[in-house]
Amino acid sequence: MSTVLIVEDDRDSRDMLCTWLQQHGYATLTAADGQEALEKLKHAPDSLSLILLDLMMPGMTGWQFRTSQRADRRFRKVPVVVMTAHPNPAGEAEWLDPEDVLLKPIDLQAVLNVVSRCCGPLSKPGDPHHPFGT
Amino acid sequence: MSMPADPTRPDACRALENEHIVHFYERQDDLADRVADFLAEGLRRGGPALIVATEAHTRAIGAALEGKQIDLPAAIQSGRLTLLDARDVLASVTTAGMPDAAGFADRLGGAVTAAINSAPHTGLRIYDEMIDVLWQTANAAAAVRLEDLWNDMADSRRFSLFSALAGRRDAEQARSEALAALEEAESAAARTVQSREEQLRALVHAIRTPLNVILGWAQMAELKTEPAIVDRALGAIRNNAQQLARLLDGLDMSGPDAIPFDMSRGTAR
Repeated sequence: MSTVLIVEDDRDSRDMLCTWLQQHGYATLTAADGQEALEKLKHAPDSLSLILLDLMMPGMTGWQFRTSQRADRRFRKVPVVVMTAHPNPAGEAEWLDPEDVLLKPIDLQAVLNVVSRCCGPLSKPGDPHHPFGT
Repeated sequence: MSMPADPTRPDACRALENEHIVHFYERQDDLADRVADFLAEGLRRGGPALIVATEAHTRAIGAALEGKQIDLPAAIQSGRLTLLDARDVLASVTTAGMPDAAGFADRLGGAVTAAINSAPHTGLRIYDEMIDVLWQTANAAAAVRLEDLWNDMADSRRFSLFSALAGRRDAEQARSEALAALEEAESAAARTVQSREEQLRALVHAIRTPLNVILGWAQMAELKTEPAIVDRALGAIRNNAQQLARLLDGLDMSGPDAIPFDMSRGTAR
């Protein structure tokens, strides 16, 4: 099953994305800041298919996390989708080199589209691996 | 008290008793040298001297006096040389922005009398900078009043007074000060703008985050989904709407400089 790491400091936002992705058959991990995300990566570098990354977070920000991630060959290849409210996402994208950019407020269908594209086919409710089962 | 016809004359040191010399200076080192000339002339003859100057100028005058072979420690120890801080004295003799006669007599009368008594047979020489301090702060009325008080005191006591006034200020110094003031003002304005922009960015972020949650959960709830998910969606929508309401309640809109947002806490104050 594809696993998505959601890095977002706001608990309700994290919960919302988790619920949404799990509803559509994706496994999820969560981190409240960049440091926690790095820890999650270190423990599961091979099982992660995608990172959804918020930028403005207390502690280690999304920019700092992305810099650290790209500097570590163990998980530098894990694709990152940036979630930002920045009015100039293209400028950020150039430096962060993400797989895609999702503009906040996040459209859940857009999330699903980009995750599906990055992680491959998804399981449907009723599939044995679907978290909500049948 | 008479004033010399040419107050900037080079022989200012040859002061007559009860003469009031006014020297217009443009450079600090020139001032210290002129004052030292004036005072050294009296000190060398065993006369007393009183310096009422700013701390920086007192140091400069002291150095100039030593350069003229005046033994400062001995002069001070013997009571022939008295040093007073111009700003301190000015503060103590000023009431409602104007020097008052009683305060002036109280603060300076004793010092002048004591200095005269330390060497009663030679003339006291006084260097006063309080007029210059007032002059430089554009307090001309107070400066004139202070000069009058010195003149009044000269009616009852014998001394020569040397006052220095910043004359035509060096154009470059004035320009430099004006530019520095302008740069400081611009810098302060830029800091204010930057601070406001940072606050606004933080405020937008604090609004957008719960809005994002509300819209996302609403989108999920609209789909034909499980009742448990709808319940969670409603809970999250309610919580984040309340968070927005608290944020708006806490905004300080009371003035143009009101700081609406406490960035350190991520909430409105």
